[in-house]
Amino acid sequence: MCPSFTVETVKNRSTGQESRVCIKGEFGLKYRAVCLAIPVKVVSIDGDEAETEIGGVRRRVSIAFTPEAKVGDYVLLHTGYAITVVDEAEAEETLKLLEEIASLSEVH
Amino acid sequence: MKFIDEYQDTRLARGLARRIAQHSTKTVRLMEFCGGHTHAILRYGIRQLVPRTVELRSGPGCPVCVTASADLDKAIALAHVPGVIITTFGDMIRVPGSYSSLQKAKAEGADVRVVYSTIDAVEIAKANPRNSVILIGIGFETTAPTIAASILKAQQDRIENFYVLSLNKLTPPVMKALLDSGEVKLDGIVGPGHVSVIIGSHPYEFIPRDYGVACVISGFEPLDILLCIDKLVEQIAEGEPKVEIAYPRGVKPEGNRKARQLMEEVFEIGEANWRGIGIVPESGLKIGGKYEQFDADKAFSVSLKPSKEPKGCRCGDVIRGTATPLECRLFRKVCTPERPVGPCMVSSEGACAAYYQYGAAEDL
Amino acid sequence: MDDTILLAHGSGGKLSHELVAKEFLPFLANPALNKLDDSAIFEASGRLAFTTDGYVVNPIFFPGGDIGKLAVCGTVNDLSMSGAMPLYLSLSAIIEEGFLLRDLERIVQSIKKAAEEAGVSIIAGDTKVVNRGQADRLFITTSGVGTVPPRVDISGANARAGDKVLLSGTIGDHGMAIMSQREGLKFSMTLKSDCAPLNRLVSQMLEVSSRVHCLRDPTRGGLATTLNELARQSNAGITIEEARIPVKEEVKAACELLGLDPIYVANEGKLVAIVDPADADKILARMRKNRYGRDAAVIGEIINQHQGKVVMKTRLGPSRIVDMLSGELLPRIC
Repeated sequence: MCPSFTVETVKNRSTGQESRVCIKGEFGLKYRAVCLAIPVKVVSIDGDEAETEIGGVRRRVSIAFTPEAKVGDYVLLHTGYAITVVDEAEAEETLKLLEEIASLSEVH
Repeated sequence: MKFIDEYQDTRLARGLARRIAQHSTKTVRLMEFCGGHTHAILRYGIRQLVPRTVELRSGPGCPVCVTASADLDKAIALAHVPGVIITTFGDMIRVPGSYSSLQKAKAEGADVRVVYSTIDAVEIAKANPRNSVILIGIGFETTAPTIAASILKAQQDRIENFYVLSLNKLTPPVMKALLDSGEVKLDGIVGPGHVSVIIGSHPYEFIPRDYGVACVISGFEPLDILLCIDKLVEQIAEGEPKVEIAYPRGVKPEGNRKARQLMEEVFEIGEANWRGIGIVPESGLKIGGKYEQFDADKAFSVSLKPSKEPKGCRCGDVIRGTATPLECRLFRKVCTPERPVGPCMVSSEGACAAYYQYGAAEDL
Repeated sequence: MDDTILLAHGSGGKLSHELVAKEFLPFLANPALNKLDDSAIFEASGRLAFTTDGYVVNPIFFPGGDIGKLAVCGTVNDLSMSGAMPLYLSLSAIIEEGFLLRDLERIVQSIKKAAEEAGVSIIAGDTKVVNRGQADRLFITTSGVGTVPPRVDISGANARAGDKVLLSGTIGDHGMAIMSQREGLKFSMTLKSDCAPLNRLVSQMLEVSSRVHCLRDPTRGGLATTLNELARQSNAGITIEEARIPVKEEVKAACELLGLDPIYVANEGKLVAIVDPADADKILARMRKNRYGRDAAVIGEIINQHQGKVVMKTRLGPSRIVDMLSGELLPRIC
């Protein structure tokens, strides 16, 4: 079974006494805070916040950096903020390019 | 899930892999500067999809990993100040500092809380008016605007017990520092996708111009990364390095002006201390004079013992790209996610953690 | 004013007896328990299986269940994973002073319902009350005993090269349902925990085949950790295919949002079965007829390489090692 604690020596700040204790492996959430930005769909807007949805999961986000976001747009969500509106036309272009590459390289 | 699933398509991935193999004649060395890319490259087995002529090296892209020991020691010392609540992003809690860790401080009675968003930190400050809430501000340009926003919110709501220990760093300066050092000969750079959402593509123009290195900005799904590698290989083969955006659905050349405005309002640029690299000029964000009441550095003073690196730890080399985790003698044998020696094994964005977690079957 | 648990409820005196008589007995009544002796006496023959587990899930009420249901299903499932027919459970509750009586009632009702579905009786119990702040609302420990039919030999050490690895359904449901309730994450979904008793599913599987070699429920640490345990115990190599692992859309989305991998997220109503390849198809067919096995799938097999390790073929083709979860992904998940 995966152990969920480590045993370490800890010093009591007031008495200075050292003892070995179990420290719970409270690793917080193993989420990747820094680079992680997920495309979510804007369902409704309320001032500088928006209700968004992805795969059936809903989350409220701040649109302070993307005031131009509209209902139906997709935004990239990063630690509670939308950092940009997804450019759907560009997304299509990229997929088309990838399709071309796939067909061309299949022929060879 | 839209804009995720389509970029994981197996057939399209194979097409890209084939094309890269067809066009890759000489060995090229590429470096990514984003922990998210390090993680994705290993999770999706990108190395096995591209030919051996394409070498991928991890650079200083993990904000937890590049936080200097001295700065972490300061955060831990602040955790022990009576009345202080430390708020931090997840992985920071377990990183071993010179003598302790935030997790250990918590076990000793300090109030250390993991937050998902900077907004949460402000709310904790609101809910605990008699405590001082300090947010450990790590991250690059993707996170900096959110930290700036939290300071502005605190000011707007007249919250006087909220502070930020600003350890935010900037990406282009550290790229320059690495290229200047010449330690790793690079042919191309995989540009950080979400940092670029904020800063756009212009800040990277010095890379091809002054160093002749190609730079292509990449997204995070496997097709995004493969497309980026394809464009880099092509640029390098044609001998015409430039800055390209291979993630146009997210990145515009001008970036997100609004986000940058908020950053410029709250922060000033100064030097920063990068683990494994040292002081890099103009690479860190400090809280500007107008908002100095929120600066934890000004509000609190703590005495610190001299900082030190763990013995035998090669995180510095891994961060600079001069060694891979596999070349570190402690990797897996002594240094594991349960008993990490250095930050690269702790953070889920760290190269060592990614290698450990997703080690290719070939490594068996 | 809401009625709450007082310290006196745990002292063994009048209030304690009242608590048992009013809050537990009416719902869990059975001949052994009703006797209120210090220990319950029952008859059983042949091999017995015995297990115990503590439950500290936070929050105690979550979509799809609560700590009570979890405590019953968890122990019933542990017995089932040995091929045992669960018979009796004991229930020990440590309650924090101030806990609402109506919440306790809700949980006991849950326990009753889960026990009825599984066909087990709670024949021994204990309650203690501790000062406010000394236990987070409620902790439950259940122990369970069951009988193992003759000739049934199911153990994590029994996997053999060539065996197929079966999974009874979608993974990550429980862990993500819990996550959605955690403070500070602020995401909402309709996903419920998959918490369920699997003893009938197991007995149905054993009816169609005598060649089920291993059974295990992937709780804490998720599918990845469980497969690693089995690989080590059997000193066998396990290979699985990412594309064959069933995951609900909502779980995928929630995992994306948090940067988690579903194979490490806890499940409370799923099982992994390692079976002889000759019987794999008919076992799978039988599983799919049970409501808890509807999405059952073959996800991999046992091979004679990389003994003790689990390798996964990713969607795009490359293989990677899947290690045990290190540390705790989601604290207090069960």
